[in-house]
Amino acid sequence: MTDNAVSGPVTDWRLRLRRGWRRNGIAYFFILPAFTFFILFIVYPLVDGLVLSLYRWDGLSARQFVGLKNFEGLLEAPNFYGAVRNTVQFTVVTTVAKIVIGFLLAISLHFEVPGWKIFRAVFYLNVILPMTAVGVLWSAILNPHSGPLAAGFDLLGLELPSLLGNPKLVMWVLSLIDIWKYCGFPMIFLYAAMEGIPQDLYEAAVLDGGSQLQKLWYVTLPLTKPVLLTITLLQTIFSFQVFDIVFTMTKGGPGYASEVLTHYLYQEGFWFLRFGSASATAVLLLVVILLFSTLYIGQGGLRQREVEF
Amino acid sequence: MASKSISRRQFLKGVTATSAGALVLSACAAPAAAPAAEAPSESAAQPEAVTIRTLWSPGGIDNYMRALIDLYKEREPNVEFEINVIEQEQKRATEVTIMSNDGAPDFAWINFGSGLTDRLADAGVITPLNDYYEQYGWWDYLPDHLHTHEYNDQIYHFSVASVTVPMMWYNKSLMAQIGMDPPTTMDELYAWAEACHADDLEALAMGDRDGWPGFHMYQCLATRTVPLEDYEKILRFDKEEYYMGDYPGFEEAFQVMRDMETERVWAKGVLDMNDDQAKGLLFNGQAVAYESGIWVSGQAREALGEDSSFFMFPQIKEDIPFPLTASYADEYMLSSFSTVKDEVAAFFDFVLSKDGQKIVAKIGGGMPIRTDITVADLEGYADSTVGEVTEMFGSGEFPVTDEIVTFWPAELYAMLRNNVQAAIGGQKTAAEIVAEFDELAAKFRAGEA
Repeated sequence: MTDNAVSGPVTDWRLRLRRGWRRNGIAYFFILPAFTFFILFIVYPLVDGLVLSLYRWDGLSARQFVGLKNFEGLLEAPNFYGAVRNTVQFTVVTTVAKIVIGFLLAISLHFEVPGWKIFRAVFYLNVILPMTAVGVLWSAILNPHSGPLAAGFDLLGLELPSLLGNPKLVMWVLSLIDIWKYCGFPMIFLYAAMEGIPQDLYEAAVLDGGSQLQKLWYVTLPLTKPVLLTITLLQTIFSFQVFDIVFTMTKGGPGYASEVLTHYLYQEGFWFLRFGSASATAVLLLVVILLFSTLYIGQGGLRQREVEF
Repeated sequence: MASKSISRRQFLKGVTATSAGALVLSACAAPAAAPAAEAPSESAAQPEAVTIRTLWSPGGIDNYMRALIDLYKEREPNVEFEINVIEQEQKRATEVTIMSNDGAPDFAWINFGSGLTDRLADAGVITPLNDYYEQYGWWDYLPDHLHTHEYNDQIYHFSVASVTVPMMWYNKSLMAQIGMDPPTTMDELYAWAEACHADDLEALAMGDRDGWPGFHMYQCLATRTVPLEDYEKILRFDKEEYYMGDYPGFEEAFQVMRDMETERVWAKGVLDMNDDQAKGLLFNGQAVAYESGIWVSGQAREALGEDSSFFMFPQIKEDIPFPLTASYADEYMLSSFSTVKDEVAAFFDFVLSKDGQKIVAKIGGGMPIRTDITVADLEGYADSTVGEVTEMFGSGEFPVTDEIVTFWPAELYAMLRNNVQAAIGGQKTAAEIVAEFDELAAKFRAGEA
């Protein structure tokens, strides 16, 4: 009785494990490479990054535990707040613009405006271009002497103002380029969502005497909302992590006018060799993104909602 | 078509037969390999082959180093080189990781001003070179630069060339077209810029979007606003008595940067363009002049031919001798993990020979680091830019001073680079910038930075 009481659950547990292994062993075997990769290249660096944020380390000498000093240092660094401000501005401007433009483009494709197939390819083409190439391309376009934009201004008898060299304009210019490059991303997802809307809902709306605008408002928009909200979350995260365009086009300049958090992090780590401080920046970035995502999801941003007709 | 299946027995037979065949073949091959095993006794007299692993960046360095290696291999056939070239942008990050383990290259070009030497030396991953300097008698070759290689009373760099920054390259035909000679004073510079604009030409092209050209230019200006004996102290934080941020010439150099923008000496878009785009303005005939280092000499001659020439930036203050310019050494460090340190040192002794220095001058656009090499020694190169510059330096008309960058903290370099941009763009006044440097210097002294 006593033996059974003790060994019973253990035997059950072992039995379940054995059965599970027999049933799913091959599946475990197949996911093992991906799981190992995930542990080695995602989990381990993440944990090590968190730990590193509590140390001072230049990549050469031994790590020195400094507690929260790296975080304090960040909050005292004069250029950190500029980087935060630029990152927030960039995120808000580009996310809103890309979603709005992407939505409008998706509607145009959905309602099959003339030439829609060409537009679909053209607008998505930018998304697959490497950002380094885009940076070089736009540097040439914005060249104040030989760029096509300068030539256009010349034709109008105007002088192209300094764009990348103007500290007040540079973040807006980078935002515009980012919007140009990535507006096709929400477009393609929203277009796919719109294409999935049953046609009979539109037909019902027509029977009810609904106008195009009403169809858009009462059918298209509610049914694409989950995708719209997911894309908004993704775009916000992508924009918050902006690095490549800044690195290829301005290196955070002129002065610190286009410094963003990821470039700040890069500078801290790979230029100043303050890997602890760089990790602290990364941790802050992670926390902000996690907070935003949690709040967003918690507010029901990604919850499927009922659609009333 | 009917598929033919084989039984397990047939399959195993096949595998066994193939394995046996492979075994027989390898057994037959063995005697052929045997004589090779006896080879060492024949080649015992031959020196053992050595491979030296290297790391540097593309451009002039890559060109002259490859040429040097080709010549060296002719003389020392037992020495092989494994060449690694890495983009400047990634170099700093890579150098830290790659030098810190036993997979390190035997020697690596160190980016001047990167502030890495002290950290690498502290970590013990690079080797002091004092013994080699003694052994090969290099002390006398580069006395003006020696102190830039020192850290904790040890020498840590091989120095192969002196590189002048910056020089004002110009198009002789365009200069004649505007009817002016190269400016020698600031007033002449502003008048010259006006004359350029009157002829619908840009004056002096600089592309400071990436920061480094402005950094060089600032140093050029500082050598004209701060006396030579004080110049090396203006931005040096590592010794209490050194930093002279409150020296008026330090602030004045920032102000000149700004004045050159308001007076339109800089070609339009100085902060919008990168160096290549600015260079294009000179080469395409849109600008009369362009500032950059001596390393551009080959490209300038190629693009402009006989129209290519240069002048040194004008004198700014009457009491400071005209016209000082700045130079730095192209330098390399030796890994502590290297197993061929002596061979690397021998190679660098070759680079410092007259033959080696000719290649550095001719192909790399660097000036001989050896002060005992004259233009005449560089036979055949006297008509090149390097020859002209060497002659100038040799004549004493253009005294050279060193950039005090070797052990600059990276923070300082970044701050200077960014603040030069801020000065040109009018984001900050010269006084505000100096105040920032004062603050950083104070932090350094307090051990907080």
